[in-house]
Amino acid sequence: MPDNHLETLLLYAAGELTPGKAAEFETHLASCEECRIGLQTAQKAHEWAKIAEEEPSPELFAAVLSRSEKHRTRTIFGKNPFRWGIAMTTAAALAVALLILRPARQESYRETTLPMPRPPELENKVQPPENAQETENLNRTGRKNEIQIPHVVTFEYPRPFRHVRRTDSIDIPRISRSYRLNLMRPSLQRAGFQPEGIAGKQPFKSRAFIRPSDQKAPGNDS
Amino acid sequence: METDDELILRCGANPEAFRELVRRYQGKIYGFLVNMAGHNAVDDLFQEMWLRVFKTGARYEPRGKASSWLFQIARNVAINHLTRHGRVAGQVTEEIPEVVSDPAPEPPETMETGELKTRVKTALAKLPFDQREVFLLREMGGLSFKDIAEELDIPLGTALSRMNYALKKLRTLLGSEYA
Repeated sequence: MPDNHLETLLLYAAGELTPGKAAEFETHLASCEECRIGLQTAQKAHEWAKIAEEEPSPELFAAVLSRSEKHRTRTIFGKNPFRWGIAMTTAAALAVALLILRPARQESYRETTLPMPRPPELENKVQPPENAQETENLNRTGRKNEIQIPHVVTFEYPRPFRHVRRTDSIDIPRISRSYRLNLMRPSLQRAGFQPEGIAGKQPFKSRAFIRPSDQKAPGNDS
Repeated sequence: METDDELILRCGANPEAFRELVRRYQGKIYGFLVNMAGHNAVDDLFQEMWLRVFKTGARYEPRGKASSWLFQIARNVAINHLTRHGRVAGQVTEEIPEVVSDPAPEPPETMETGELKTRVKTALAKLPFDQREVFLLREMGGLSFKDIAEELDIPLGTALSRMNYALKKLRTLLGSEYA
């Protein structure tokens, strides 16, 4: 049997011949005894291979599944599954620590305008009304409109992690600044403190309150 | 029912798909590995092969038959093992894997089948490695000769020639009663 017939036979048995070549080979088979025997052997080969198959034990089947599952776990959580838990615990602890020790808001130059007390030199001083509304107010209250002196109080906000600020030996609790100011304002004024700029000076950014000894006489700009 | 391609693609993420894939091919793959590398290491090779399938299944590109892909992996695992143990030099070593018959006593009615099984496995073990490899890839793995030639990096004619020699030798070894 020529070599090309052998190859054709095997391809024919494997179903890998084109229909035209398969038909041609079938014509040849009718007249070639050797090729027919070869074809029978080739067709028998699949049965032999089937006979040679073996089933693995159930334990091995289970081991394959278990090993793949272990690999899946490693892929998700890393080689040490506990590492994932440790990382999560550490992250949670850090989050809590940051929440507790979080820095104060950075508002170094936040401005707060306080309602101003009426300066003593303006008390009982009535100025002539300038328009109809002011005239009406004057007639009704006997006083001209409150003179609003623009005033700016600026706080130096505490550095991060410092939640209690001391100003002139007065503990300022951890409450909002404007609320804190409003709460403290009467006692500060009673103690002789005055908000800066009260004398009608141009507002400037400084600390919220000045000591009585540092106060300048009202109207004394020099 | 899911196709083999779908099972391979999903096996990495879905344990049930992996289980089904192993169930479908375990007999053929195990038999292939036994006949390629022998009984001693077959359990380890079987696990390693399926672990590779598990790891690389998501990257599988269904261009040919799924069984071809699986048997290519099985062959690579077996060749690596044999190379590590110095049993394959240029893939032409005629190392014969040991044939272990079933230790359990067989009932009389299955004696003939058991005897045939043993004789077929013995005959396969006596084939030269390169012929046995082509035979197993073709008949057990269902690879086309073209795929076998590509996988083994040999000409198509060489693959057909090895198959032809393998069949002739098997026919001689098994005798006319089994041929």
